[in-house]
Amino acid sequence: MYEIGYAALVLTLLFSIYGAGAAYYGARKGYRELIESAQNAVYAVGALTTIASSILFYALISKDYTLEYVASYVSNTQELVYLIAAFWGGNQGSLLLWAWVLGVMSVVTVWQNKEEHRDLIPYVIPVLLGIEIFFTTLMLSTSNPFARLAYPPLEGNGLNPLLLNMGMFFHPTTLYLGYVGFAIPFAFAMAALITGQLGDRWIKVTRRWTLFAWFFLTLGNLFGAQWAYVELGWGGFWAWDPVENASFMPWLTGTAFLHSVMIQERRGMLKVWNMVLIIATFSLTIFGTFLTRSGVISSVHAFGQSNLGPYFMGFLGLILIGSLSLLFFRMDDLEGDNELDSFVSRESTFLLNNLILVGAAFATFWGTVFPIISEAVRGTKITVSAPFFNQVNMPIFLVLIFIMGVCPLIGWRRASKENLIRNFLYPAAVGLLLAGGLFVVGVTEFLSILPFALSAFVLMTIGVEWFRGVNARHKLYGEGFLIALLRLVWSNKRRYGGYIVHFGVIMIAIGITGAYSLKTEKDARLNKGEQMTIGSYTLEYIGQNSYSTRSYDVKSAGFNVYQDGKLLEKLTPGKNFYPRDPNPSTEVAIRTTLKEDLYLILAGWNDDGSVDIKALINPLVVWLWIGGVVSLVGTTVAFWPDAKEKRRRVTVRNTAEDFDDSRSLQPMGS
Amino acid sequence: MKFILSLVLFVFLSVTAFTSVERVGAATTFDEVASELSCQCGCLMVLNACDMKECKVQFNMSTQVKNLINQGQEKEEIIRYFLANYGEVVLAAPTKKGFNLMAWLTPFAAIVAGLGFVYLIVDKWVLHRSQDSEEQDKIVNSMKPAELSRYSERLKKELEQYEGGS
Repeated sequence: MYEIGYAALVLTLLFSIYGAGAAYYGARKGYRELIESAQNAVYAVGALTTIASSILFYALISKDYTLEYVASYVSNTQELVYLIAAFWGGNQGSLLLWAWVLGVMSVVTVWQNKEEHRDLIPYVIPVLLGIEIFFTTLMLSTSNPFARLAYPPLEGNGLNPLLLNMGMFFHPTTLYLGYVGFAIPFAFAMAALITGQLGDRWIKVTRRWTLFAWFFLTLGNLFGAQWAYVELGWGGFWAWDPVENASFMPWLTGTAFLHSVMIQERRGMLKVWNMVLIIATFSLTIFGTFLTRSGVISSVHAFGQSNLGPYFMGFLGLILIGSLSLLFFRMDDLEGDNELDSFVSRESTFLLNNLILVGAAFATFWGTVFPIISEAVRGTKITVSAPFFNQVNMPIFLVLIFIMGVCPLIGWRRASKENLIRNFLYPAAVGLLLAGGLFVVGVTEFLSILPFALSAFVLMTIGVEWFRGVNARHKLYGEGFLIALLRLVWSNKRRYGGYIVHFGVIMIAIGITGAYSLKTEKDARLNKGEQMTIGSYTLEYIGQNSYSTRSYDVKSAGFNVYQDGKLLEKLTPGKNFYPRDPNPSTEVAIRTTLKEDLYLILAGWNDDGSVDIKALINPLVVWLWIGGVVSLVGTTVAFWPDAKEKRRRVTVRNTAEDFDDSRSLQPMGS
Repeated sequence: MKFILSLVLFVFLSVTAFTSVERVGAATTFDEVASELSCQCGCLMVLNACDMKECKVQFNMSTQVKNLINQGQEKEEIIRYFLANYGEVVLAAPTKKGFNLMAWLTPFAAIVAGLGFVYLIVDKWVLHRSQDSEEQDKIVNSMKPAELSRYSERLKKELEQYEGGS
């Protein structure tokens, strides 16, 4: 059976090569049948990667240690969810995941456009299949997921115990959906450059793919942060690890792209910039995949040393040289249809927003690679970790939050002084009032006050914008406020979905600021019956407990948590001991409220029966997760199709049917 | 004016990045020191946040820090001790001098350079627009009154028709 899996990968490679060539040649020569054959090749690739993936899933779930990959990442006591998650636990499986997800997305893309955009699709296919060729070649040459063992063991290594968390199921999969999702707008951008169809059509076609990719990249990053928070036992959720940075950078440039395309759609401007952004975003997804496998930068996320680094560098180089060459060739045709009318306009704030987002991405990239640069120039190893990124990125994100508040209320083309005063006076006043209030209650550090004040400013501007829209509907149509609100959102999902996302991002900012700047920590050694206080909580150590599960042994310590003399609950931080690992993993205990998290870490236990405990209070951190959910809801609203758009697509399709298809296949240079 | 705004932005970004709060007169705490040191087990985390299970390296380094604090040493002395024993790699962030200053300033310089570039492009567009509108004013001013009146009436009718909801 595993020969079938390997054969499926070989056929994937062959069909990808055929499909890419047939699509391009068919487009050049106007051979419709060849293009349709290439489309069928895409469907075949989707099916073949699904077959290969299904076979690997079967091997993992059935714990077949004749496969080297299964022996490496599965153990006899591993639960079903982690048997499935082992698929992407190692290099080979994660490469297959890339290929599979790309195969399925390519099928959906081709199927969606079987009657539309017939001039672009023959050039989209070679780009997508070209990426498929790369990943399949890697698997067949150096990272075969179906490699066999001559002497299969009776028991496998299993996943690293740190990975035995539900985060392992959701975090990598959602990240990959985000990474691979950006391949689709990238492919359409290349097709637009090749065909010279440089208007906003390629953007409109891929808008939902961009939202889809951004949605899953956001979700993937949030899952990662949440997993780090509950699993790693240091009380934080983002360590600026190089691999974390690698998933954050495309999120930043992808966010810039999502905003910037609105300017091209509305005013026909920033065409070159949008091309640069999508090239940068897709390149950063490949760069991230490279970082986890090359070993150039050490990281707790890395798959370990492998020889794949040079291949990924070569592929990245090919993408950059190819796409930038195409862009350079088409530079004259990418001139904007309009120009900015004023420095003080919505277009200008969008430009500034882009500059800051790309600046943050650059700052993150720079900090990630600076150790390599320093070693190359000075021969000295240095470390660039959380203190650097926090200090450099914080002011950049503060400016970004400010722009989020300004942009929705500033006019297109030109904003007058009266407009600025009318729109921003009250939000600015609220921000200043909150700053004053925080100072009065004892939050005196400027860098703690400023994020909250800016967040209040932004919330007010969003609130003002919503109130105006709802009020207008209420007066025009006599609708109740709630109905007016729902219909306001439903009638312009893209715009108000975006505002909901902004609302969610501000909640995230509030959660991060609270957790970082207002945190309290305390260590203590307690005997049974002794107490410690932290904040408004009193913790009483009530004793140790030990028990066994199917997969591991647990040693925990119980604490009664009191507040104002009232027992709130019992928390039991502990450690898990796994059979094949001498070092236990830390299992924290968390009590969450809207105001703060009480976070307990069992640091150790002593011969005299006492335990060492570390307690933290993380204020407002739950708003990070709530804000994440709100952002995703907003993205879903923005993603939702509407009736006007469906009617427009039918009109375009009907018009295209009257168009001579052979004339539409005019590649670059003809 | 725009140059001054760019300068203000650069200064704001740099100052907030370089700002650190010193607790004057207070005793050195473990977290104060540990947050500036990097655990040398390869995790790339700051010392008091190393997430590797039962990290022996973190335990040993943390014990060293606590011992030095108990001996009455200040934060800067302890940092110098670790620097002498482990090299620059033990610092959680690059120093703010010499070649390492590039690490800190380059991102802000890039943003301000980008701002400058955008300003130049936008300024050209806005200047071009105002020249266009001067041209249009000249054309309007050169028109005969009767012709101007005819266009004004037509404009008024079309606006009424548009705003009247038809």
